[in-house]
Amino acid sequence: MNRILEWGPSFQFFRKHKTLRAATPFFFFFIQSNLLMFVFLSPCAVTVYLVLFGSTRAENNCGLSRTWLETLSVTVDIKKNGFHRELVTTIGFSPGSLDGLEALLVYRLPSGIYIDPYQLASLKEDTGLQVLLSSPVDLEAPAHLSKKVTIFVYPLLDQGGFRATVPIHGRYHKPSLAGKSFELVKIEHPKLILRTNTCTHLSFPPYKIFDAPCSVHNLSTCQWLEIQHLEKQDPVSLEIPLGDGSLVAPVCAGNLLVILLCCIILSRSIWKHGVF
Amino acid sequence: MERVVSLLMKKHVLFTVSFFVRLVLVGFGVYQDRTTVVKYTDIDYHVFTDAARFITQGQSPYNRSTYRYTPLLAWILTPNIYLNHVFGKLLFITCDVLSGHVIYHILRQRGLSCEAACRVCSLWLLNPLPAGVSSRGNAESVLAVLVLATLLCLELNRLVTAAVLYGLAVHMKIYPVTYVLPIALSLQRLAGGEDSRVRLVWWRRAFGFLVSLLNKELLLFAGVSGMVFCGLNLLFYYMYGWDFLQETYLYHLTRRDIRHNFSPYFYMLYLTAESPWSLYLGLAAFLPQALLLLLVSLAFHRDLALCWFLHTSIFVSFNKVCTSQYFLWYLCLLPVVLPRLTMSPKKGLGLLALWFAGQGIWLAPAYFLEFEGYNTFLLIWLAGLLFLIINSFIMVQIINHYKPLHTVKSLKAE
Repeated sequence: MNRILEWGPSFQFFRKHKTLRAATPFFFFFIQSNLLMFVFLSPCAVTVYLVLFGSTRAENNCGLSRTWLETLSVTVDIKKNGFHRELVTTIGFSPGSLDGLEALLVYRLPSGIYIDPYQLASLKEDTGLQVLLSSPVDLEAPAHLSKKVTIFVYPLLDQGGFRATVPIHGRYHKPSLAGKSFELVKIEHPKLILRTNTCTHLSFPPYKIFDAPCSVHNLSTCQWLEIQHLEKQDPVSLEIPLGDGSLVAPVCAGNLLVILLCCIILSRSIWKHGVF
Repeated sequence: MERVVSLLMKKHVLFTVSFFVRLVLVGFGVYQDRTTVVKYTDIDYHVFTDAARFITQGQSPYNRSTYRYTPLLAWILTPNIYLNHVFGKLLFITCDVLSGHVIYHILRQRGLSCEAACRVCSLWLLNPLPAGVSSRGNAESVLAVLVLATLLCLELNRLVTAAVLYGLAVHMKIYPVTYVLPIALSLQRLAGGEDSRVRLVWWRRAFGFLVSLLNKELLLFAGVSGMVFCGLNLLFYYMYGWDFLQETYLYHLTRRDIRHNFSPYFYMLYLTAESPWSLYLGLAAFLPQALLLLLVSLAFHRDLALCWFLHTSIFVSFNKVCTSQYFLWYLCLLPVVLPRLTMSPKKGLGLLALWFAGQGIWLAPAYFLEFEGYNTFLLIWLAGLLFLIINSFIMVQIINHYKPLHTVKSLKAE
């Protein structure tokens, strides 16, 4: 987690626009409802609050029910072709109370692909999608010189479900000497973790607690509930074209030949028409 | 229709219209960026703006990864943050139109009538390529105006101004550094060090040639441009340290971009990226470039416009990395060379079509690789080689059909 915090300066852009864009509907709703409670209904509110949340606090599951959690599903899909793709994640669940519920997808991206943080910044302006990267990204390095990167995707609520479309890009791979034309890059299924912004302490066995940044601004760490029954799905994959390493000799020879030819015709013409 | 054309050929009308067209393109860009997913603005423009933002925050512009330009550019673009996001684009289109203006003056200097100069100028000013590139927020037009203004000042014999502009141009982008030899040779000729056709031993001739290089004009030019170049570099090195040298110059010198581009070398460099002799291959690739540049300098330094045009097109065509924005480097010098070409318009258009066809043949497999995921590396490589052959052929045609300056002057004298 330290590495995330170290990379703080690069996220200043995200931070600056926080007040403009990051206010999710839940956040507004939360503030509004609290204002109402404390300004107009403060005496009753205390009793209502105790009645409503007192019982859940005993179990400390923050209003999440096991049956509801079991309806959660995550589908991952890769759209478009070639080097520039879209990683589309949809979180489905049965209808229920979503007040203050926040979802977070934790992806462990392989070294064969990368995410462009600057493209994410403009994406945030356009769609509001927020993504946090765990380490700086080299946009130009080939796959074998790159590392895996963890990304935190804060999906957007869209027509009763959470949905996130993240642009990903394939890296160039080492040429293949074995005649392979494509490299299969697999993206592991993401971890889905949840929390509600109404309660800070989660305890909901057998669900595990997962520590992750509370928001994309990466200022503090929160406890999230890890939804584990989703993890057994197959990874999605994309194919990246590979150079043919067995062609080194003909390619070098071809280059030498053509460049020599071009040099000769150019030199001949320069020699003929130049004034020395 | 004819009236419209003749009206367009009036100087102030032409320049107003071309500036207005670019303004409309900038406005259209703002609209398209807001409404559609496919952005009009060049990705580099966002890089510049991000770097400028770091400067306004008192940080180094190199905190923006892939910012590989002089900090001067980011400094110039700080109004992007303080005033408005389109400031840079307005600056670039102004430079673009200014380039047209400089082209006009060079053409007049080379003896063209006002109307003829306007007609040639319109090839730059009403050309969708530079207009599109500058209104999308690409900074090439700044360099174009610096290079052209250097040429104009040299032709007008304003050495100090030329030297300042040249130092600035090389500071902005390293490629005009290759013009140093033709400039030195032409200044040596100005000083009258030529015509030692007495038969001497080769080493005496070579020595005499070297001595004749050290004339007052050349020392003045080298001193002033060197001072501008080194002064700016020292200033920015002091401000931003090693990052500045690494990103602005060393990166471009040692650049070994294995991703597909127009260069004939791309596939070779990709396939040999891991091998121990990749460094030597990269260095060997400089050899044909250097030899041809030397030859062109010696052969055509009497006509700097032609010499620089050939220099840049050879440099770009034989470079290890070549993207379409590099084409503007030599295209901005083409209008200056064009009036002296004696080929028929039909042939000229044929060569132009050939050039575009070469790009099209490359773009098709590159599109299928990048956006459809087909393995077309071999086709891209072959298309890159074909494009080099086409470029060489066009350069040969230009050299063969070029009417040199001095014959015209001697004709006039008669």
